[in-house]
Amino acid sequence: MEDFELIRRSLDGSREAFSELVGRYQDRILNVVLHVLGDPHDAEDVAQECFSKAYRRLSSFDFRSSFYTWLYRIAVNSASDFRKKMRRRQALPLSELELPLPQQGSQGEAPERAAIRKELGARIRDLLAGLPEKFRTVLILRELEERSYEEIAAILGLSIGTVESRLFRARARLREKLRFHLNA
Amino acid sequence: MSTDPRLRTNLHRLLDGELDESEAPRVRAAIEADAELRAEYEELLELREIFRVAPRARASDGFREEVVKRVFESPFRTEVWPQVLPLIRRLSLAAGILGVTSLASARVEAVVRPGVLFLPGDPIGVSALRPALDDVGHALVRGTRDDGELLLRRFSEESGLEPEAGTTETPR
Repeated sequence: MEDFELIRRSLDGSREAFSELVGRYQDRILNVVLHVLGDPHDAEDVAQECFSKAYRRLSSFDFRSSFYTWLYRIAVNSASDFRKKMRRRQALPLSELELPLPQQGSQGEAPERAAIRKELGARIRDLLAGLPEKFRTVLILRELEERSYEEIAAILGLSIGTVESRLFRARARLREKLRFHLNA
Repeated sequence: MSTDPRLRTNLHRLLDGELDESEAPRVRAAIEADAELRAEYEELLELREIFRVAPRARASDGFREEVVKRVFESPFRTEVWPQVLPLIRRLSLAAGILGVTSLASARVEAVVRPGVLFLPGDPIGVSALRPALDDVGHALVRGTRDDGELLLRRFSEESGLEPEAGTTETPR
C-alpha cells in the first residue's frame, strides 16, 4: 500500500496503518537520528518521539511532498533540538580516536586499504561528530541516506545551492581529517 | 591542476549523480587529463566507500510497538488538539493580558504549552519556544512588542522556520 493511503487511514484512526508507516521508515529514521545526535544512548527514544510528533502533525501533511521528506525533516529537527538541549557530550576530537594506522609500503595493499575503510566506516559516527552540525546533517542525508540535493534541500529547508556548498565543505573537512588514511 | 571552481563543484555533482548529462563528458575528460583532479576524485570515491561500509542501525524489536503505544494510548492524540488548542489559546491570552500591566517592561515572560507554564523568572529562550511550537503548533509569547518580535526573529533565524501567523501574541 502506498504511503499516502496509509496516511489517510492513519488519520482515520487506523492503528495498523500507522504501524505500517513506522515499520517502513523506522530504521532509516533511527540512522539519521543516531548520526545527528552522535550518541547511541538516546537515539531510539528520540526516533520514537519523532514518529509520535509525526502522528500528532499528520493532519498538517499536505500530500504534495513525499512522506519521507516530511518525516526526515521532523527527525533532523528533533535530533538537533535534543542535542542542543542535552549538550551532554562534546564531540570526541578525531585525534583522540584510536584509528588504525596504515602500514606503509606493505604488500597486498588492496586488502589493507579495504580493512582501513571498514574500520573507518565502523567509526563513522565518531568521525561525523567532529563536524559542525550543519555539515554533518547534509553528509548524513547524502552519504548514508543517499538523498538527492533536491530532497536534502526540502528536508532542511535550504536552497540547493546551500546544500551543495555545505556538502562540499563538509567533505573537504572530513577529507582533511582522513587524509593520512586516505592517501596511505 | 585546474583552479576553475566550477569544475571542482562539478566533480562533486558527478560523484553524486547530479550533473547534467551535457556537462558530464567535459568533467570526465578533465579528470582523465589532470592527475591532481583525478586524485581528488578518487579521494572522494574512497570517502564515499567509507560511508558505504559503515554499519547501519536497526531499530529494536519492540520499536514499532512502543511508538504505536505512545501514540494511540496517549491522551495527547492528534484529534484532541483541535478541541484543546482554542481553550489553551484563550487562557494564554488571558494570562498575558493580566500580566502585562505589572510586567510590561520585562522581556519574554511566559511561554505556554499543555501542562507547562513557564512563569516570569524562568530562563526562557528560543530553545524553550521550539518544543511548544513542535508539540502544539502554538506558543504564547508575553512581553513587550519589541521583545516578542525579537524572540520570534531569533527563533526564525535559528530554526530556519517561519512562525505561523496567529501563533503568537505580543501585548502592547
